[in-house]
Amino acid sequence: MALAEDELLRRLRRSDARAFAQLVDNYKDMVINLIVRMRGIAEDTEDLAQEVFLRVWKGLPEFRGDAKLSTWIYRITINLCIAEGKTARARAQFLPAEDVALWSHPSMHTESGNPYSEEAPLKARLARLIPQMPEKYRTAVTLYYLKNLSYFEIGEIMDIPMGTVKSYLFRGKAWLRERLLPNEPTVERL
Amino acid sequence: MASRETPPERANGGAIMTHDEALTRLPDFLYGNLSRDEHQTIALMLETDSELRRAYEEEKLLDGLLRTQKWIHARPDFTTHVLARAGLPVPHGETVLEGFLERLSAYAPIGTLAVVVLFYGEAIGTRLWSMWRGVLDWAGTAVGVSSLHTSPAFAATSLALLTVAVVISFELGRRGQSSF
Repeated sequence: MALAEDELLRRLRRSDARAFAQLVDNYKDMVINLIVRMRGIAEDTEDLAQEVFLRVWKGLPEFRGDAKLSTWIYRITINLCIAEGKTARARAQFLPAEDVALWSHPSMHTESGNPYSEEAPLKARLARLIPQMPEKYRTAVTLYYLKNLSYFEIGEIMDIPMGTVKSYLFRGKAWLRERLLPNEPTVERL
Repeated sequence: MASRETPPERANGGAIMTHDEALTRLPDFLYGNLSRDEHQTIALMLETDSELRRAYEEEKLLDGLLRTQKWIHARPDFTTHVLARAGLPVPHGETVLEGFLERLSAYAPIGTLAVVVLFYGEAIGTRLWSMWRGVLDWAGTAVGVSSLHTSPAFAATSLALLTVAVVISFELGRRGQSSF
């Protein structure tokens, strides 16, 4: 039976292995997808995700519960991705073709009248572009779209005000738009 | 194409907005996060400002692309690997007996209290009553009132103390339950 977060946290603080297993089960996919968005697909993605959970386990005695457990885990993930230092820019240059295909989604909805009829290739290009974004934009855009986190939650994870989150999101999307749809100079100059 | 600097006509009481302001509000327009006036203003601008309309189409496209990226699942043995790296035993699920014992332990404090009251309630009550009367007799002698324990104040005080005892008992039981 799944435990509520406060109950889970209480058991984790008692070094309950079963509670830790549940925590890993609850957050493993999210952590892996967050890492992939931040760094691009890489062979060591799962190793890095495991490292996130080891840090969570070791850090539990110091976790005061000021933020949600999920916020804390995402913060550890983001910090680890940044500290790990393998830039997505370099990684994306060597992204194998099959990895790009992994990101494409053939059932992508195409709206009539949309000037961009080939959306699957666009999606693959987007997947390669995201890891190359400036770090702060990448983090904000990834958190916002991966888990529908609120501006407030993203601000807590990145330790910035909500207004700055909105600004990063806006500029991050402008950065993507300029590279993904380069014929349309719209908001990047703002 | 509408002028960048010239605000559109105010229509139906709509908010005045420049082209660049409208550009920055397109995500909120997309998600319906604007006031009715602002939404109406941008909707009108989209009819006349081709550049804004193109930007809106791009915003929708990019938003859709970002929201529908492939979701990757961890390998089935991911959790086992993490536990092994942390030096923890791999749990094999909660047995019925373990679950029963866990729930039983949660009710232990209040259960113990109930057993004690069941077997020794009368003796404890009599003893407490006797002690309380002794205290009141002593207090009555001290203030020169011989029948303090039969007074309304005595009844009210007893009732209040009983209430406090019940509340404390429930609180202890609740805390004991939630700590497991």
